Amino acid sequence: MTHPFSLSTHIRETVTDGMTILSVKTNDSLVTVVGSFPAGRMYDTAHHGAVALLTARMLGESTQTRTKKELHDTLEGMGASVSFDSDIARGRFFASGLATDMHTILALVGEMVREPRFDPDELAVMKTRVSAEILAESDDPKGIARMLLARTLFPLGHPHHIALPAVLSETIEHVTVDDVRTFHRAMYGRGDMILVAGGAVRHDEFVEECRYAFEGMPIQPVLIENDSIVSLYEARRFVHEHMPKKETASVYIGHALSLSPTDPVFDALSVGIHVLGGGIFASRLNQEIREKRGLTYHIRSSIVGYQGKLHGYWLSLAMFPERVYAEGVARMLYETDIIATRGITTKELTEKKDELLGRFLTQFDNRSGLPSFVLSAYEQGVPITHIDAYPERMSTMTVARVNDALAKHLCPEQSVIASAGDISLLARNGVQKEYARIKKESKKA
Amino acid sequence: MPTVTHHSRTKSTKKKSSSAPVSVPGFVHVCTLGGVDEYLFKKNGLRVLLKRETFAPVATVMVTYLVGSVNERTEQTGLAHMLEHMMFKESANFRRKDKRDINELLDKKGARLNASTWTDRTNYYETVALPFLEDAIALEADRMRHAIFDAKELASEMTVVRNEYEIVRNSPERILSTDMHAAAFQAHPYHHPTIGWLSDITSYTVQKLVDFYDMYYRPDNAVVSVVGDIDLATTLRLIKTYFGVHAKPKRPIPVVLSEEPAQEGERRVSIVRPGTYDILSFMWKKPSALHPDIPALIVLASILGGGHASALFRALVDTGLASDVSVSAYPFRYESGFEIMVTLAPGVAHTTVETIVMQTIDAIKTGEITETDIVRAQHMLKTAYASEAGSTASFSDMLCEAIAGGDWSLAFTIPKRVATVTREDVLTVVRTYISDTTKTVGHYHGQS
Repeated sequence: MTHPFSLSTHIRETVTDGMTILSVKTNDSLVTVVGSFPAGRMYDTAHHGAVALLTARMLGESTQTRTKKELHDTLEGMGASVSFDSDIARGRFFASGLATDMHTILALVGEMVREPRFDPDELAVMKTRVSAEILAESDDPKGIARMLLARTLFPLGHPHHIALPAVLSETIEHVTVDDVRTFHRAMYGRGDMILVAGGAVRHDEFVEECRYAFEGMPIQPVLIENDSIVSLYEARRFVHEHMPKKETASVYIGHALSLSPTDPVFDALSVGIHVLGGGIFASRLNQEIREKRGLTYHIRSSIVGYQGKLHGYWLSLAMFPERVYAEGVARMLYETDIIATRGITTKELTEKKDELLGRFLTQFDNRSGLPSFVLSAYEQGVPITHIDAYPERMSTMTVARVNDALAKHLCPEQSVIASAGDISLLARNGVQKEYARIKKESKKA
Repeated sequence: MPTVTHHSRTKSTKKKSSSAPVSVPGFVHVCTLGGVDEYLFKKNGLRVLLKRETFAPVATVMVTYLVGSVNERTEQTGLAHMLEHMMFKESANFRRKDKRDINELLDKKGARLNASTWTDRTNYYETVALPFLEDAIALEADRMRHAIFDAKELASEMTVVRNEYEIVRNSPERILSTDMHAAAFQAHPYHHPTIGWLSDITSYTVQKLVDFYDMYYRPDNAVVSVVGDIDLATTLRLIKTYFGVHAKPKRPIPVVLSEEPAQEGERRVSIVRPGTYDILSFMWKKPSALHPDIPALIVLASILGGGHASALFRALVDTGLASDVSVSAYPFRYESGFEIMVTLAPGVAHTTVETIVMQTIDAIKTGEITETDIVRAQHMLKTAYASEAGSTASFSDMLCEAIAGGDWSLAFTIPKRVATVTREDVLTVVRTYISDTTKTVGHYHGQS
């Protein structure tokens, strides 16, 4: 299959005044602008990320010269929307509107980032809202199991560690306007600001609009992110949170990784994980656990958590009710053990190459998502040329490289199994027994 | 109300182009709207929608069947959804023994493929790199009439669907929405959830599936859309080659006869489950997608809950009484719900928020609404509609939901009419449809 698509040919880049400004030109009338700053929760470990989150959210409220009402009346009067949020590594804004209004929208975004009011009453309401969101997330077994996994894999103070919902809610209660102002002053500047526009944009005009919008903001030194590698456990570790009446439990299995996304081994490991649980239907986990045995509706495996320059982690996810919980988890573990020890086959690699090269193209169908895609790559320090070279790198991938990467970097014996839902101790204790049964059956076969 | 009477009016808004964009024997060019060309394959009644989009060398193939949970009967709820799952097993020309597994064939070529079922339609779709366009069309054509159903596979897939049902039951919003629909709709099949009731899910038989499949999976009950970097004539020829083999059945397609009787008083739903938060929900009846009042109802929904400048966001979220509010006037094929859902902040009583929501609506009814409110809502909706064109997949989704509503042209005519809605139109619909006697209110209590 030929690959007549190069992302680089659609992108223009300008670096000026500490800002990296990129545009992806399409013919869409809707323009999307995404921007980010080194203002994620990893720079706010003392407050479990609460100050980082509230600072980002408060940028969507009043500015020094406009009330929140005036701001949103103006923005939404044009049909535009602007929102702010933060994750582990970065604080981000997401703005969209018609191409004809982009100058006004960017000017307002600039004002919101440069001159926030941080009104105490608005902060009080925002704290209530964020606490309510945390409570709502606490009702979802999938979210709880994911938090449990991250908390168990990464120690307190590590960027990937997620505080208990109750701890985070209590921390939020004590955040003050001064905390937010101090964090904003330190983290929101032009030193490491990345801006990406997509749609019917003219690059030179966009650069000028960015210069105007963020003029006067300090240019901070680029921070060296804390990407400390964590050690794996010596043996498998099970953790569970009981959630009454959540009849289907979410189960994560995973461990930390010590590879960067531009490491040559990273591609090889990605292919191996894709064989295990990537794609939609064709993975080993899906075929063995969903298609053959009907044990779950949803199962997958992937590499996640590569935000900013942080190393990420491998995880598998599935959902099982009590009646098949032990067998489902045991089969996930068994399939993972098999691929880690025996690797993949030549046939699987050939098929995966086709699949991944096809997926490389179909990912560019989402034109409105391109700005976020490009932003994410730049935040991780992945050059667009590296993305464009993906088909070439895949064409030279070998079974030996994939299996070597799996043997060295996929360590199911040292993984954490985190689940949440209404599952009895009996079912949870049955996992080891089921695993032994499956192994014995497999030997016979 | 049935929607047939409105159909001809909506059709007339499409333009018959002076010359068909492409000519392929067997097809008639019906019309062009919004860059989309509609063709009819005369032999079997299959309708085809084509649109070129050239940013990336990909295309999305989608088949929309005009069948969903609205076509199900008692003891067969969820059947349309179960059938959708079974369509990923085998068909005559896609057999595992021949190394042509439906699940794997396109997945292994990097396609983004899946299917979904809702009240009024079932769709199957693949976003593929161009070299696999023919494979996608061939697969969809084959499983339109040649799907193979096996009792053993049904038994295995039933447990998958049962697990999907249980995942749905983990969501407070979905639980409340299910009970709200069951209370608001008593006669009409919008009463039951698309995924079905558990006892029905566990009792399907192969014969039930085959009967349903034969009834509704036919070329004259489907629309094939292809959006992407395609050559129009080549694509039409491929569709002819693969879908052209199917005959148009002589038996008529069953119509939904049940109509919802007028509601004559407020209905209330209360749910208490273990959980961490509370939800308040409202539902009123609104007309079908083809009804001329739908654009004004969509504008009303945006005025109430679209964005940070909307009335309910300011009354509830900006005041710390709620963490989220959503309002939907999403158009369906038949009379359906105008819905409000509010996630309450911790410690806030349902009754407090219920009073504020009704006061906000009453204020609009008495005329407390400005031209600026209307224009803001229209501009917000304009950008929302523009965002749907952001990929060949989302553009295809937009066409699919319009097809489900009764006419694909709704994807373009509703946005056009939304832009001309007046303050008087909004006052008329809020006074007509949002009344105390047609209201259903739901309280979800998450108790620790």
